[in-house]
Amino acid sequence: MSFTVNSKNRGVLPRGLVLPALLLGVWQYLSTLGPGYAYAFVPLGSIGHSLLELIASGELPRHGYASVGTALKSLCIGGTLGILLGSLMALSRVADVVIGPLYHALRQVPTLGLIPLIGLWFGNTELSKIVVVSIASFEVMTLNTYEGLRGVENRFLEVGRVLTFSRAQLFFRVLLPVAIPSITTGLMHAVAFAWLATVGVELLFTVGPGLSVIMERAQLAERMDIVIICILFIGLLGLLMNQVCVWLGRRLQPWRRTQ
Amino acid sequence: MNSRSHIASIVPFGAKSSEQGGVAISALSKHYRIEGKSLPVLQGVDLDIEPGEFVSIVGPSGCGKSTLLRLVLGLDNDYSGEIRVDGERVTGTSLDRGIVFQDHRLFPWMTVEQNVALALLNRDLPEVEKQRRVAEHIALVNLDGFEKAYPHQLSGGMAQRAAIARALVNEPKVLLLDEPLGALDALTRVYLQNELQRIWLRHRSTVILVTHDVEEAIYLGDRVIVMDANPGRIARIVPVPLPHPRDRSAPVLRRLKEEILGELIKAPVLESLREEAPPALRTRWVW
Repeated sequence: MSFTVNSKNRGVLPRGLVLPALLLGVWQYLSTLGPGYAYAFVPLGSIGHSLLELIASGELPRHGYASVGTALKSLCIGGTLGILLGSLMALSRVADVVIGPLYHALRQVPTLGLIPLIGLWFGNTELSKIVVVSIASFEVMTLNTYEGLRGVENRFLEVGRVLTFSRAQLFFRVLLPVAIPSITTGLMHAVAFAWLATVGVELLFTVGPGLSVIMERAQLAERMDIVIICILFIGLLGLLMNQVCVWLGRRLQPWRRTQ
Repeated sequence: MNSRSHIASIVPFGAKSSEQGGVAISALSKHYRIEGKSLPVLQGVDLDIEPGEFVSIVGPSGCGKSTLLRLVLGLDNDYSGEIRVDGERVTGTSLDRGIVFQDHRLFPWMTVEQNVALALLNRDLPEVEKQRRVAEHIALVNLDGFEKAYPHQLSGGMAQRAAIARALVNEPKVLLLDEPLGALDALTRVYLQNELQRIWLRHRSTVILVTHDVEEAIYLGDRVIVMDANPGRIARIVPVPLPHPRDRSAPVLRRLKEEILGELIKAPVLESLREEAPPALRTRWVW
C-alpha cells in the first residue's frame, strides 16, 4: 500500500509511531526489573550492540544474502513454472480436465509437510531447500495465473474476434493484459509464501547459511537479542520484497496510475 | 417503391462509392436448445438491404434483433438460411463488417488512440497511413485532444464515440450498431444521434441499427424494421420517406412514431379493451 504524505495526513505518520514507541518503552522498562526479565526482554542497548556486532562481522549480511538468494532463485523457478501451467490449464480445456483435479488435490498438502519427503529424495542439501520453496511459489502462481486468464470477460474476446484476431493475437493482446493484475497479485502472494517457506526450510534443513540458521544457533546459545534481530530482519526483508512487487505491479499497469 | 429514391442525391465530397455493402438475408432461422426443447430465436427472416442504406430495427425484448446483428457480423455461425454481403456468404468475422456494442468495450489498458489503432492491426497498410486514419477518425468523432486518454478517464458518451471511431476506422462496408446509445443519458443520446447521422452521411456505409428507441429509429433510418417476438420475425417494414439530413420536428416523423408504437404495444388485453370502447375512442387512442 502506497502512502503519500500530504496536508491531510501529515499527522498520521508520527501518530503511527506512538504505539511502537510506547511498546519499546515498556520493553525497556521490563528489562530493568531483574535478571529473569532481562533474559526475556533483552535491554534495547544490548540489542543495538549485538546488531552492530553482527553486521560488522559480516554474519548478518552473509546469511541474509543467502536467505534472499534462496527465496529469489526458487521464485524464478516456481513462478515461471506456475505461469506456464496456469496458462496451459486456462487455455486448454483438455489440460484443465486432465491436470486440474490432480493439481487441486496436491495443492491441499501444506508445502512444509513435504519437507521430509524432499529430504529423503534430495538429501540435506541446498537443492532440497530450493525445491521446497519452488513448490510453494509454484502453487500460488499457477492458481492466480489460471484465475486471471479465465476471468477474461467474453465481451473483450468478442471485440478481438470482430477485429479478426488470430488465436495468438487474442492471447497476447486480450487475454494477457486482462490477466496481468491477477498475475502480479499472484506474484505478491508467491513472494510471501516463498519467504515463509524459506524461513521454514532453513530451520528444518540445517545445511547452508541463512537467517534462520543464525536464529537457531542463537536460540541454543540462549542469545535472545540475536533471535530478536533475526526476526526483525526477516520481517524487513519480506516487507522490502513485497514493496518491490507492488512497484512492479504498478509499472505494468500504467492505466491504473492515473486514477 | 425504390427505397433509395428519397435518399439525398447529392453525394458529399470525399464519400466513398456506396455501391458496396448490400446485405441479403433469406430464410434466416436460429434456435437455441434449452433442456432438450427447441427455442426459436429467429424464424424465416427475409430482408434485403441496399448498399448505403440506413436500416433501423426495433422490437420487443426477445425478438432476436441482437442475435440478427451477431449473425450478420459473423460472430455466430450456427443458423439456417442465408446471409450474403455483396453476394458472398458470411462465414465468420471480417474487417468489412464493424460493430458498436451497447457497452463501449474499449480495452482499459490502452489509450483511445491505441484502441482505435487496434482495429487496423490486421490491415495491410503502411504505418503512416494507419496513423493518419486513426487521427482522421478520432477527429471525426470530435475526440481530438483525447488521443492519449485512458477509457476510465472518459465520460460514457466520449467512450462510445471512441468505440464508433474504432468501428469506422476500417471503413467497413456494413456498420452494425447494437443499441449503441442505450447506456447513455438523454441529452448525450440526442447529441450522438445527430453525430451518427453526420458521420454516416460522410461515409455512406450500410448501417443496421438496433434500438429500443422508436424515435431514434425513425430519425436515423431510411426504413424501420419492426420485429415481433416468439418467434423472432419481421412484423412490418415502415419506410421513412424523408431526405437526409433530417429535422427532428418534422410532423411525418411523429406520425410514423405513433404508427410504429401502435404496432409494438399491441397486446391481447389492450385489444379486448379496444373492442369494448365506444366508437369515438377506438380511433383516437393508440391501443
